[in-house]
Amino acid sequence: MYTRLYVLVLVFLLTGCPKGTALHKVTVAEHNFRFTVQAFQDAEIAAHDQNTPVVIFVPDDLHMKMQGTILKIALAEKDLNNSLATASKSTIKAKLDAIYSLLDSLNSDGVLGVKNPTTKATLEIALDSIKAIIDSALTQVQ
Amino acid sequence: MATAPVALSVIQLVLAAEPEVVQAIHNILSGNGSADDLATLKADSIAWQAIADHAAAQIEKLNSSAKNAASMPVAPGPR
Repeated sequence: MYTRLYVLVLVFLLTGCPKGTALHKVTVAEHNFRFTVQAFQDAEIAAHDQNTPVVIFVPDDLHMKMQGTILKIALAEKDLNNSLATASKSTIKAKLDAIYSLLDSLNSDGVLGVKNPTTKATLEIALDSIKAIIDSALTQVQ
Repeated sequence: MATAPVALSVIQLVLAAEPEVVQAIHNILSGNGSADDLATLKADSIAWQAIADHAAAQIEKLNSSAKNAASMPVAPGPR
C-alpha cells in the first residue's frame, strides 16, 4: 500500500511542469526518466530476490526478459543522452519512439506475466510513471 | 512484508535526484556549457551504463545458477 503511495509521489515529483524550450523539456524528461527506470529495475530485482520455493513473486524467465529489456532501454537512453546537444528534432523523436517500443515490450513480455498481484501492481505503476515521462517528452518533438 | 524494499528503494531514488545534471544539460544546449557541465553530462551517461551493467549482471547471475544446476550430479535413487 505504502509502495503505491511512494510511487505516486515519485510520479508527481518527476512529471512536474518543465520550463524552457522543447529540447530542454525533452532533456529534463530524459533525466527524470533515468530515476524512474532505476526505480523499476530496483523494484523488479527486489521482488525477484524474495522468491522462495513456495512463493514466486517474479519467475526467473520473466526476470531475465525484463532485465534484458531494461538493458536495451538503458543503452538506448545513453545514446539519446549523448546526442541531445547535436541531434535534430526528428532524430530525437525516432530515438524516443524506439524507447517507447521497448517499454511496450517490457509490459507485454514481462509485467503482464507476473502472477503475484501486489508485485504486478507495483511494477505496473512504476512502468506507467516511466511511460508518462516519455509521453511528455514526445509531445515536445511532434 | 514483500513490498518494503521496493518502497525504500523508491524513496532513496527521490532523495538522490540530481537537478544539477538537468542544469548542466540546459547550459550546454543554450551554448553556455562549461567543462564542468560536460563532465556532469558524461556522469549521466555513466549512470545509464550502470543501469545496463546492473541488468546484465542479473542475467549473468541467473544463467550461472542455471548452468550450475544442470551440472549438479543427480543423487542415486533408492535400491
